[in-house]
Amino acid sequence: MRLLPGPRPGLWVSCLTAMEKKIKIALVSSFTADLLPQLISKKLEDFEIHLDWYIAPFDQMSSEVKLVDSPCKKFAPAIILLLFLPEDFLNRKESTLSLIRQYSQNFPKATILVTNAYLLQPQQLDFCKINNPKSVYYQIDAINQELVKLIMKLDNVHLLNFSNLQSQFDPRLYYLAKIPFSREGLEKIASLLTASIQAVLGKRKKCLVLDLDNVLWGGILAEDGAEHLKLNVDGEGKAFYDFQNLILELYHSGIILAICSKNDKQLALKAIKKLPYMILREDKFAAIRINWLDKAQNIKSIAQELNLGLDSFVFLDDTSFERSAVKKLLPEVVVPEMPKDFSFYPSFLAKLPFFDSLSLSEEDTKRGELYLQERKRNELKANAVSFEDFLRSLNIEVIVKKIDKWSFPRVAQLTQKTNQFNLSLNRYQEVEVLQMADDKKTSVFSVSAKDDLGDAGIIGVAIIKLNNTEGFLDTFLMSCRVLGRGIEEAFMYEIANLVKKSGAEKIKARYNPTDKNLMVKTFLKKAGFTELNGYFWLDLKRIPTPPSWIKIKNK
Amino acid sequence: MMTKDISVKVKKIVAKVLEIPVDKVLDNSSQKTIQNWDSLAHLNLVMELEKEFDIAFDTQEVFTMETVEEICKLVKKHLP
Repeated sequence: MRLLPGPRPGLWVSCLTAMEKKIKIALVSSFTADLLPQLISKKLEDFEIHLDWYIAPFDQMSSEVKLVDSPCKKFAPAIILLLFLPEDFLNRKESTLSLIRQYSQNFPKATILVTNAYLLQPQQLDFCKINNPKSVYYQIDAINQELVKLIMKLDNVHLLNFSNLQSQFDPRLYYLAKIPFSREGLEKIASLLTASIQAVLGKRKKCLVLDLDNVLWGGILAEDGAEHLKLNVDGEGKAFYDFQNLILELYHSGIILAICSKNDKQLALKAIKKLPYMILREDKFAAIRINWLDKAQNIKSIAQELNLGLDSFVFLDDTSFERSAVKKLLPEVVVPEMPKDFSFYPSFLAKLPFFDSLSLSEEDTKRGELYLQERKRNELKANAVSFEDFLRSLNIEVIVKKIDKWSFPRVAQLTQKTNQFNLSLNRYQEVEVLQMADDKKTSVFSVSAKDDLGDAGIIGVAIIKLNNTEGFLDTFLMSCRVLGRGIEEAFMYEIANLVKKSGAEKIKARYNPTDKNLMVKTFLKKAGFTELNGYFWLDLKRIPTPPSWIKIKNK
Repeated sequence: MMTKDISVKVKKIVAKVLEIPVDKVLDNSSQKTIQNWDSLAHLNLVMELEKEFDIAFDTQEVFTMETVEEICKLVKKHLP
């Protein structure tokens, strides 16, 4: 066993204050992958993610999972990287698939990332061979199909795509030290793994802010005129068309889009509406800032409007002046360097490591619409006589439910992503949520909300651990999107009643203060909790009545 | 590139990869004299040298290079 040195002391202190812990990660590989941990740790430290590695000794793949107290089991990793060689699949497919299954079962708490079947050695390229069942190409394809089927059945296993690494094969290192990949290849794998680990930890960015001129289309609207802009289905304008298509894919995966451009507003909105090959029309953007104010100020106001932290923003702009200004004034915002040549825009976007997600929940696919509804709600609010009238006019309905097999991914995601309205900041992975749901003493509730303008889906989570007369509130959180409409009070009211029904007399909660979640403390007092001995307590004989404008359902 | 320049650059790379002060890297330093220089570090070193000098060693050379001096000679051989 060889453990790599941990992060530098300075960084460790800063991550302690950010309430982050070191993530335990195990590397189990059938090739020499010992160089990867350093590369990955280095990349992730830029994102304040710190890893504690266990590297399984060479050739211990099956003993690490089969032995009752193998070093890997003692280490109890949160993430396992299971890296195979092509021959593991080609020569002993059954035992390799069974190994993957065993890892899934023996490490139920870990998220396991497994290489797919890929090729290393260049093959004779003969097109006839692709549909010949005896050819390697054919076999690799067949194995990958089988692998996907297997992994769909295993909740805690995800695939890593190694298919594009053939050009990175280094035969010298391979025969010398069983390192199949060149330095460049190892860097590529490290990037892939870095993005995957961020996805496991739910560190996905939430909002992509886009410039217009020379980002969404080629050319400058005010100078070249809309008819001369580059945006087309063929020719050089296709680079922008493809780029917009990739952004649309992100939109459908739950990334919120916004525009921040120095332009004439009417002119730009007209171009967005009228350009024949514009893919991202106005309705795809949750916030739009087209003006001559400085971009940092604009991004800040977008963050306020959308109720999102600046650290969940990525900003794309072709002008280095704008990029460095935003970087300097809003250091939390990620500002990638854009390629100088727009032909590289699509591949540049595809390689950005901020938007990966292991599984998409229904909310992810609908998020763009939800934010559009939100914009409309704000317009209604501006017209209402009083705020309560406005809320009453929405006909809000709140549904509290025990989690089921459809809601657990979203519940896990909410525990990982919610920073502001979050009592304990306990982060849970999908498998952990499932385990809690199976535990008789623990109840995991989700809350969803809808009103006349739309369905917000699951927006909050409560986890209660029952202990005789006391219900311990392990988790209570709510997406910021819906705060301030009385939904949080209604949710707490319903939870309190459910706990009361199970025989408890009080709810005990531990508030974990950070610089972001102050609103929880204010809420607890409003919801009838009193502070005593470092805990917050709710006497279940005195549950405050919920807001009258909300209809509560409990399923 | 002059032999002396090569030697200076190689020593810098050795020091960086092995995480030791550059003045501890001597012409006759090798896996036997520097503790951090294990087999994995050796491969890391080979890759770093290849990247920095934009060269590629033969498989056999990776095995046989032992001292810093030998590494310098091999680098020189591969440089155009």
